[in-house]
Amino acid sequence: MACSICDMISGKTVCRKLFEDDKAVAFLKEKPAAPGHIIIAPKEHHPIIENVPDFVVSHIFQVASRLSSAIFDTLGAAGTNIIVNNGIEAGQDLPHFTVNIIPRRENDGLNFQWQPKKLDDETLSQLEFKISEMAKGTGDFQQEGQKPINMDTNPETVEDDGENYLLKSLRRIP
Amino acid sequence: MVTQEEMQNMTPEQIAELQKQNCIFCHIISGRVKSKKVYEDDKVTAILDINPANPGHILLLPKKHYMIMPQMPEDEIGHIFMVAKSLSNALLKALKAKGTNIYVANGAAAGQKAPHFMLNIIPRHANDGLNLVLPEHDMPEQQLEEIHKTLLAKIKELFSLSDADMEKLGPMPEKKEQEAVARESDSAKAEDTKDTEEVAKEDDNAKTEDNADDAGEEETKDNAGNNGDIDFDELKKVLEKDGM
Repeated sequence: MACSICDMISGKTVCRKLFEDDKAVAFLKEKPAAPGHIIIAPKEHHPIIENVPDFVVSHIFQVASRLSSAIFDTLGAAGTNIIVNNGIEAGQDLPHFTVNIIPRRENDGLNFQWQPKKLDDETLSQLEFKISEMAKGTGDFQQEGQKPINMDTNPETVEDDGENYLLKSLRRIP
Repeated sequence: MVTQEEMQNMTPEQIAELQKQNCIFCHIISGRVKSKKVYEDDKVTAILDINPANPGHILLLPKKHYMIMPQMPEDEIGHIFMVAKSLSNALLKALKAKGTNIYVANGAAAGQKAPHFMLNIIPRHANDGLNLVLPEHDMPEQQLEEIHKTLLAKIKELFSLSDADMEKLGPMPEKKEQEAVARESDSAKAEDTKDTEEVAKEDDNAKTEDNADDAGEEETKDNAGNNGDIDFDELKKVLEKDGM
């Protein structure tokens, strides 16, 4: 699928890159919400955050925090917004997961504030139950280097590097 | 109450302790103030916002008192956003939400209201009346250039990057200015400009036909990455699958 962010990462289209490593790329938005608006994207193409591996999510926001510091230190910003629009109904306008960092200044004309909705206690309790049920699986995060198991190859092949605990214990059997 | 003078004589640790004592979210985390908790581990607590942007709006808080994100250790930042990903997924499933916004405000100028750093995770539905669309302002190339240079210098320092690392980022796009401008104008216009630059000049009629019929030519296919030509079907499918 054609993706404008992938094209920027590969260099097919020119962009003002600010940072790049093996997992993430950051660049300056050409049409910013405010001067210094930065976009960070995973190098691999993933449409929404649910598809991005946990360790890449972790890395991207660590980069985002440092870039946020860079904005504080140099652009005279009084604050930053970090915004992810995840899904079309959430305002996502690119097919590639991105994180926006927007420098904020007093009276800069931006306003992301929402009108708070009033909910009664019972509705809140129902929501609490439903969401905490679904949130129960949280915590078992994917680490870098964990690859999905390839069923075609034989996973039982054990390399004898002299350090393998199982092999050692096998040798100990008389 | 503590006077200004007393504040000045306090150690940073004492000031932090004082902030904590006055922070409603620290009281929520400790359990002294009641809340609707949806997730908790040793580093973070997630509660429902009682005045939500949408029903199911989650506030995800680090247990330690930090005012803004740059104060947080990076391993905690990594952790809290991995939890955010998981909670976003929980919202899609539990509420059949069609999307989520993850929103952070660092500093009062950014709309931060509480003194405790937090992530907002907001479930989204079609026509829910919320508007987190980011405006797009035109900016002169020269200003972009200045910001780019300023930020690069600071980033080099913050990430301890070598000159070789910086070179990998590619040249400053001065000489490619024209292309950059073309890319950011609206998609139809951008295609036209690029066509004129890259493809040998053909007559205008043929060009319009190219734009209408993308499948035919490689050159036009390359341009299909413009914002106007996003294949949202795939994105929708992913979302719907996740939302079930």
